[in-house]
Amino acid sequence: MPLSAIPHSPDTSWEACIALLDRLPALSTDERIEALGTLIRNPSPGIRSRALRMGAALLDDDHILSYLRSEADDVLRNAGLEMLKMRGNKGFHLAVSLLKDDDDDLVLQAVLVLTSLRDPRALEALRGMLHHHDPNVVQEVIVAIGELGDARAIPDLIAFLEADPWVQMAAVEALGNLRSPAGVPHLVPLLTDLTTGELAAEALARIGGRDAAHALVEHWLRFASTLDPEPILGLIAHVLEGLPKPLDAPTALVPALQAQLADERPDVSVSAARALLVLGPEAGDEAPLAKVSEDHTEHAVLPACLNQRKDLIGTLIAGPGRQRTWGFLLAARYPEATPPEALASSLDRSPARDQLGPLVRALEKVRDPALAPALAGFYLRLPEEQRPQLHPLLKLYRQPLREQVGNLDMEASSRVTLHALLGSPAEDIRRDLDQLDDEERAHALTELVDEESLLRPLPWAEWLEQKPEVYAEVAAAFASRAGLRELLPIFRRLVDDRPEPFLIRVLGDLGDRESVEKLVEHLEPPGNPLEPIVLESLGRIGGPDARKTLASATAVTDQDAGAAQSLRARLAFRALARCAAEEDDSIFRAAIGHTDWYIRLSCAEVLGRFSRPENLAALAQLASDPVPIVAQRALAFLES
Amino acid sequence: MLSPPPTLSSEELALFNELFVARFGLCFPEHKNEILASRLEPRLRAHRLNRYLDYYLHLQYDFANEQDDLIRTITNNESYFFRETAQFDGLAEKAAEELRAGGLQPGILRMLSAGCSAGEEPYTLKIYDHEGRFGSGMPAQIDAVDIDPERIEMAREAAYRSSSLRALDSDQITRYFDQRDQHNMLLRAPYRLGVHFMRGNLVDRSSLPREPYDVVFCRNVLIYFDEAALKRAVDNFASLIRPGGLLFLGHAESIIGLTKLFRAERHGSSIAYRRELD
Repeated sequence: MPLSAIPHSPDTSWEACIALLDRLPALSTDERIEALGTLIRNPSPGIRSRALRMGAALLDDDHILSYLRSEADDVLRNAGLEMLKMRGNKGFHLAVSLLKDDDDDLVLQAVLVLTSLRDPRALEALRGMLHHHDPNVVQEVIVAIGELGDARAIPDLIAFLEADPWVQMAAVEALGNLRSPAGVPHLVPLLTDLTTGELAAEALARIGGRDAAHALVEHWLRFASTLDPEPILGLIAHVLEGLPKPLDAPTALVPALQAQLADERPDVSVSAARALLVLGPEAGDEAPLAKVSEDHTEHAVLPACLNQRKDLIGTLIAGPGRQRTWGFLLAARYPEATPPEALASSLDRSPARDQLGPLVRALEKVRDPALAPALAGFYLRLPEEQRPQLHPLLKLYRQPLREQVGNLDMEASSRVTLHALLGSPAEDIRRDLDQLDDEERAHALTELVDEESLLRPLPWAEWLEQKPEVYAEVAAAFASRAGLRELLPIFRRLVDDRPEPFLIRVLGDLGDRESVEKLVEHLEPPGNPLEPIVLESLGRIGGPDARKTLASATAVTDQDAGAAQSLRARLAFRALARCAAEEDDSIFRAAIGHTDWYIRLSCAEVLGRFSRPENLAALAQLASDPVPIVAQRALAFLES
Repeated sequence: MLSPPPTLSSEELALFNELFVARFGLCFPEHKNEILASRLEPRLRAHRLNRYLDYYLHLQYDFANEQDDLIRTITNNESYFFRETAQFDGLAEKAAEELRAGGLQPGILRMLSAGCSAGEEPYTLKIYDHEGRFGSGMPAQIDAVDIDPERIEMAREAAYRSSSLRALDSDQITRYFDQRDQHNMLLRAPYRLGVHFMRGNLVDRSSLPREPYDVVFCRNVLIYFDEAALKRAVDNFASLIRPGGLLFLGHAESIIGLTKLFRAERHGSSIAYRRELD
């Protein structure tokens, strides 16, 4: 299709583009290409990226070339560039061939693509372009060589450090990107250059290491009165954080950094705080720590400035909010430097929700028997549904915990559970379970449901017959895990009396084909709350009867059907995909244009499983799906 | 032998995101997969489920009863008093008096804290108002909504641990709080009374207050929204804020390019969005 023939709707509003994306799966390939013209003009990054991904999968090289050659339309040209980048290494040969094009702009685009691909095969082709007649091309080639990260290119780049300023700046940037200490001596003299000084500082920061750190620190201390502290302090903090040991810094550095803590600009004060924390306790920790805590939003990630501050573990664990999380993360990294009493007292203060994982990791690594009493108390205070997260820990602390259990006040069911998790003989545990009343026993069984060898010999059938209302749920959970098919007759009977979700689920998990007829009854009336779980169980059971039921449940002809019908169709497709035979693939081929992404995902699964030619054609259409997970799944099948 | 904890597949993450966006506007990007998995795991345990897909199906089966636990599980509730006060200062410097004068009920500055968590933000607004920083004369009206009913209860209780007070100095703590027990500080009555809390979902207009506000603060909430939900929330803000009123978002949040109902303008060192005249 010639470029002039690519139409686009004048309505590129957010609403119009969202509506177009929704319609897209039902459009033909040509119509999708036409839709691209509209979608790539929307300012929303989300819509544009979906359109570009689609174009990268859908358009052939000639189409992308026509985009790249569209001098009058910057949007198309940029779209072509982005699509070629998104093709990854598949775009490599096209990009290299374009280096020889007569159109300088196109050559420039090709270099930009190679910059983003970072494919080492491009090095020689790019070196050959260093003396191109267009300085813009030369500038981008230098940048592209830097992105390849091959230090052998340093001599090529040094020659450009005294060239025209734009090319010089590209060479500085490229030297930084090569990340070789050999580049440092060439960059240091440029720190005071009015044009390239800031770039040289950034390049040194990317290279990192002691020499770069010393150069940046000395430069800042020498010119502090004239330099804007915002960029240089950020770079210094970054380089200091990357050193394997704290820098032997000039004595003037700490007071100079401390003076910046009061700066109103957060970027300045936080950078100073980071640098001070890296330099160690002599610099004073309280104020810098408060600054970094205010700024660092990600709980679960330890700030780099604390990476080596094992001396702060106790302080952090006793601190508020994210500091406490960081303390746990550091403790897991340096267990030998962790004061056990700090961890013990932290167990007395309930951790916030997202702190439990880091706390568990810290306790796994520290493994100090003195922590056992606090750990036992903590376990007993936890809500029951969170206790299993501590099970691995209980096993690690088995010996000291055993000595504690007898002294602690707890419910009978908890005592049995703890004994079981701490490795008491199975016969003793079964005897203790037998002595509990039904409610307590069900409680204990629920927490021990993963202990297959312990629980398997228990009289489940007897309990189920006598007290189904107490035991059915935990028995179903255990039967699912342990494959306890001997309980199926009881579950089938129970499901007749009370069709609970857990009973329907266990019939599916155990693959019980005898229950298909019963389960199908619970699909009526359509839209009843059990329908999703019944459909899923039928998919797990599989076989001709289940597949037949599921196939008929997929048949919602009206795509604008109500929410209940739409849900039924998507879950039926999903369940059928799980158990589909080859003769079912026509159902999925017919649904690749469905408006529901989850149905199209099921289509990709099944069509990828049965690789007939007609299925591959359908998969190719799914590979340009506007929903990434669908396109990725289809592409994965096509590529395999 | 222990079974390994279940893993959350990309497909399951997409399903949950679809549900969360439709119901609450919230979206967990791929790199937060593990965070969502660890937050949902106790809910799987509570229902004795082995797979995240089974929990998704359970939500289809009984969303009404699970909703509150789910919200508590997936939302990020962290906040603290006097957090990022540049926007409060920006409002106090100039805009508050102008909004008071031009409001539907001149003299009353009506403010809403949307996504108020346990009350730290609306109470900080109340402190500002009590100290006359939004201008003298008639007091401000401060309402607050959050989707988590448990957080609303905590906000009404107004008792806080040290992490909520981390941006306050000891003088401020003494001035605004009384020691309630070993771990909690109780916000004093003058800074507590008159702030109205209610449950509200930013993507469901019917759950939000009806009256128009002069100012809405919705900070560090929309960063968890996907684009479609963000659009819905912004449309809801447009109907919540009177023409000429202001919307303050978190410093990492922007609605530029998403709507023509607001225009960005600078207030002190922060950006606010002015509701265009109809």
